[in-house]
Amino acid sequence: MTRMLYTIAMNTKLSVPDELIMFDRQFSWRTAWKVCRWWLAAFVISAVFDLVLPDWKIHQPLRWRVTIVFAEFFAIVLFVFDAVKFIRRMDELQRRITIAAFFFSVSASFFVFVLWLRLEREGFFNAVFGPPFSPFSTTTWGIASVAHACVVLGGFYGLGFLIFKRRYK
Amino acid sequence: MKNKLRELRTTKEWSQSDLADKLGVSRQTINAIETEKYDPSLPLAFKTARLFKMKIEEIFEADKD
Repeated sequence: MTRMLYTIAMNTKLSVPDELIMFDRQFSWRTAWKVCRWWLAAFVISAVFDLVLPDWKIHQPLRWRVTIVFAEFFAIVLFVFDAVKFIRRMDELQRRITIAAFFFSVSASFFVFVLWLRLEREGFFNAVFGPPFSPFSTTTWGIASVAHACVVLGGFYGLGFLIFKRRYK
Repeated sequence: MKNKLRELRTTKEWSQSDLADKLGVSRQTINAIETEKYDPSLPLAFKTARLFKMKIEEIFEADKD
């Protein structure tokens, strides 16, 4: 049994985290789709209902709005399953780099969100840049949506990955 | 941690990719170990020692401090 598990583990292709980093020469659309499809789904749902159609959404019955919220978070949960599967197939160094990049991403995003929301609440962006322009609706400078979180977390993950990868080059 | 991995690998005339395949890790990991930027886990150190039919302490040497 142990031998079989060992053989299976040895025959499994190692996950390559570089395949998820856009602009990296190893970037693979196939791997990115396999790992990030639910991330993309959460982004699209949130972008459509929170950024493009917020005025339409606010006039919908509560059950529809709650369904949209749960759909976003269900997609995030499915993404986490795919990401964990991908991380478990990495070798030890790549797993270490990925987890470090993940913590960097979460910490940096938290910092940015807190700072941004505080500044927005104080009216900083309106005072400096004026009201935001949107062809779809009346919007604010707020970034409290899953779509924003997806972009900020993803951006910082890429940056963190490049920083930590350089340490072992 | 110092190690003789590069020396042992070149003796066997293996590339970093060959060794990586034999140990089930990436080439980047082998490179990081050889350049002493990364210390392998205990299971990987055991696997390496078993591959070269040596003891762990014959391949890896702990820093004195």
